[in-house]
Amino acid sequence: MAEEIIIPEEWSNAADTIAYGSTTMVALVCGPKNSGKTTFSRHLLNVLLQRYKKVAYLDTDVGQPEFTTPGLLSLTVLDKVTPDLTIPCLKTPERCFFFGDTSSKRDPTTYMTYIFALYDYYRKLYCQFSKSESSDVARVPLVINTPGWVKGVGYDILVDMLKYISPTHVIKICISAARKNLPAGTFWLTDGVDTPPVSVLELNSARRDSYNRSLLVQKDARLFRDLRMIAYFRQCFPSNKNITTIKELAHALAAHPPYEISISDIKIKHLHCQVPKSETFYSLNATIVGLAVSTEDCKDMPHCLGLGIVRGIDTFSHVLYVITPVPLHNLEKVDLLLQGFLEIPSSLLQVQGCKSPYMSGDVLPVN
Amino acid sequence: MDSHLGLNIQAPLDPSMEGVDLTIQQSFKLVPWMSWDEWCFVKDALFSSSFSEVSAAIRRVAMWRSRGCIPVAVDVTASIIEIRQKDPFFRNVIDGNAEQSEEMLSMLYSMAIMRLVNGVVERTRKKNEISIAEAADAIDLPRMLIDVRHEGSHRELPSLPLVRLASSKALDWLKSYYWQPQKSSFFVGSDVTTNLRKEIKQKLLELASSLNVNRSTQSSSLLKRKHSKKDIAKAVKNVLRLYSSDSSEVATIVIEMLLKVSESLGLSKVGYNSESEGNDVQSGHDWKAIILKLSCKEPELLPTLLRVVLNKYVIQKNGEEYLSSQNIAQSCQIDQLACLFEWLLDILKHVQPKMSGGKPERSFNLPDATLFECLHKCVMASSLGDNQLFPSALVLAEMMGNSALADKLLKLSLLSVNAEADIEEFSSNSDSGSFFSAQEDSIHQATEDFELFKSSCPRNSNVKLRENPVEPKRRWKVVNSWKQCPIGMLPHAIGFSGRLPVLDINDDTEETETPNGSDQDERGQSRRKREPEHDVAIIDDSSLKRMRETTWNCESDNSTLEGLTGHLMIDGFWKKVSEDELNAISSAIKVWGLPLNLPTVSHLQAPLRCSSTKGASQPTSVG
Repeated sequence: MAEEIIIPEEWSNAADTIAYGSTTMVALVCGPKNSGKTTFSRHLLNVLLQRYKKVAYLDTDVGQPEFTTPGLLSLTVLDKVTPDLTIPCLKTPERCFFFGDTSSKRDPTTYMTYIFALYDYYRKLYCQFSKSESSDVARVPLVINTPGWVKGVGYDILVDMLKYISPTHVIKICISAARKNLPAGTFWLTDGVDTPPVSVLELNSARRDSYNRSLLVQKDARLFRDLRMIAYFRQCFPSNKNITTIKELAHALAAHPPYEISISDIKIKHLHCQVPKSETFYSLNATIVGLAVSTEDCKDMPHCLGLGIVRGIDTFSHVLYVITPVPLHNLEKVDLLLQGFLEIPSSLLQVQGCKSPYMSGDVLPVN
Repeated sequence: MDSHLGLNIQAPLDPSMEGVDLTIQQSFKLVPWMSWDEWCFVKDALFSSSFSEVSAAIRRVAMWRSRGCIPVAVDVTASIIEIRQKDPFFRNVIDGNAEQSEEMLSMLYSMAIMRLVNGVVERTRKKNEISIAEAADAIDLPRMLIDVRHEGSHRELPSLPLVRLASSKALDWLKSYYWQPQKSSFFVGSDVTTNLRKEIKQKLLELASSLNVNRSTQSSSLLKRKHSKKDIAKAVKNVLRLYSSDSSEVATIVIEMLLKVSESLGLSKVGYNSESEGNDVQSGHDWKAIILKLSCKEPELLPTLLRVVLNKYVIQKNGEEYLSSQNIAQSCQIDQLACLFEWLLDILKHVQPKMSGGKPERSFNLPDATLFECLHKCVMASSLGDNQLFPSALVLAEMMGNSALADKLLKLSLLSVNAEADIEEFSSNSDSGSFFSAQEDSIHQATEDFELFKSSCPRNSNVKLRENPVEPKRRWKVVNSWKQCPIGMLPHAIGFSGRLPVLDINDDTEETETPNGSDQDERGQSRRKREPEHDVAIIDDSSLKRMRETTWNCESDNSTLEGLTGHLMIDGFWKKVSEDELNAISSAIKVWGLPLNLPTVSHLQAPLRCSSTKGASQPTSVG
């Protein structure tokens, strides 16, 4: 993560071509894992922001999203250039769904439904007025970043996504190991079906060794996710509060006065796991949940306002205690807790003299 | 709301952690169970012969899966047992009314076994250096399981008799590979925990011996005494250092050691654990000296110890309720805990200065709130069905200098003693007629007590009257007060270590609506669960308890009640109830033999939900 960011000439030319083309663009970036998709997306966003006032970003990578915590699918609208591409930062998305796992494989159908809904939302919001009247400034291009899908379930999802969205630009990043790349050309199109024109840009990954082999930037996915979660819950405290280490944050969270909500005022849904009703609170305690609003119009698609830690449950007083950085006025709308498989970083649970009961020292190493 | 990380990404592992803590912190692992007790419950229930217990364990494991960090051995064990529950062969059902076809059953078994082999073996073998079979051999995994995996994935589906046999082998292997070693490992404790515990124990013993030396050398030279004083100071410091890093562990160990020597403390009524290790601090006198010494430097120690004892007590009590078979050792330990609590309280009494002329001079000063919390917990624990802690509660009330409170507690305890006596009488006496008349008398007695209470209660009560609020109700709010406690626990007034929550679903969660007669019946049933053999007795217990709670909740005088006609206090709030519902309630109460008239009922603050909640949310009702 700390490594220097390299933007090859090929990449910046491509970004310029996309940004200064004539049509309102919808650009989808795809390619194998660790090939530099995110870096290219970030660069493209910055180039676009020089021309357009706002740029939308649809994040479909639930494992390593750009502006949110893992487990979320989101549409974010940016209006400022990010000068330092090395520092990932969290932003509050325009619209967001809680998927609740770090891989789309857990529930491909729901995953696709959410992505289509986010795309439709973008269309509704930013593509309603006719093309002629819109000036450059008013138009909002869309960048879509994808996980490293090249085969299997992920590939099928990618094809469906490309078909539904039909982007104006598809940026394929290729690595030297040819069989790990996506098929050439417009691989998602079936012959004989009329589709809007699309330009496919095939770019080589940025890092190469002396034999011109791709160097993949290996990331510790788990560490990345933990850091994301930690950074997210850091927002529970004002930025001027002196919290510089994870240990200090864990301490602060243990002492932080949580929100309380009556058990009868909130619904609880387990997304990926069948939990007997009698075990609900056992399941929820000390886990990360999505804070969602179950709206009248789309019952199956509650949008998510953020994450919370169920830090305690008092079944006698019938209240849940939740820690979240979501501000109170937004929180008031939340009437649904969604539990997925987002693991709470264990570093937040071990505070000296205040260790969570879910951290145990006597676990057999065999499992 | 943009936000940079604000955290040092380069050094995520936080090098600022110091020495010993680093090793401790790194070796802790996230587990889906809240305590090893929970784990043990699952282990015992999974392998029990009772269908309902096995089902309960399977439900619990399903919940563990949802928490995401379940060990694969646990996962697979539960899967196999769940499949066997669906298999008529293992359920000893003769008729062929199988829910699953044999084909389906083979498929389920094969999949579970495949997951076992792959899940366990794959983790132990490095890439492809050795074959699955070799790796399986290394951990003594039966060859049959490997074969089932192979057949199932590459060839014909293995036959049902084969996979049934394999499932038994798998369970045996899982027991010996995971369940038993894991159990003995936490009983002994892992290295880290053991080391920490060892160190705590050792430092405590050092302190004890240095105190002993001091006592024996009192007559000898000044120099020697000075020297031993130094030793004591050092020993105290050592213990306190450990205390500050893990207060609950230290407290737990002290309590464990105390329980071991409980006979010499004059605590134990029944011989329990009479063998004690040679090194242990033997006499109660020594222990008293140690605790006094430590308390001078660390006033929180005594409250922490009290809390640990109380928690242990409550856990054991709760355990009595839901764990099936109760052995004598446990109830014996409950007695010991109650006595130990008294003993500790006695020390506290010595340290805590007496109120002298209203203005106490305090070197050692525990806030009343702390005492009150202890008292509160005592009374709550008593509501679990016995009064062992009542004397201690009285002592606490006296220490707080609150004689009115002590008075009330005394009455309360008398009331419940009566209630118990009655139940005992009944269980020994099968003649229901005389029982009911005795019962009626006692309820009348209670009603009179209640009236007496009402008239003597001060007028400063604050009754919460919940009408339709004018403002839109806010669902979310920041808690009024909070105390640091571990995530997953609830704050405790004393110390930072928090208390474990009770997470069982309260069946009456939805019953914030106006209640009716049938609800009461349900409650009677849920109480009955405790001791299923004595149905009738328990019903009466609950009705009596209700009276008891009624008195306990008495916080308002007649004039306040006047405005509340047509209301019932439910879960600490006054709720409007219609005439019909009141009728229903009153007739429901008649079932238990007391002809109450309606006006009384409407004034009766029938606490329709678990009484202990009220105590928790309204400490004002005592003071």
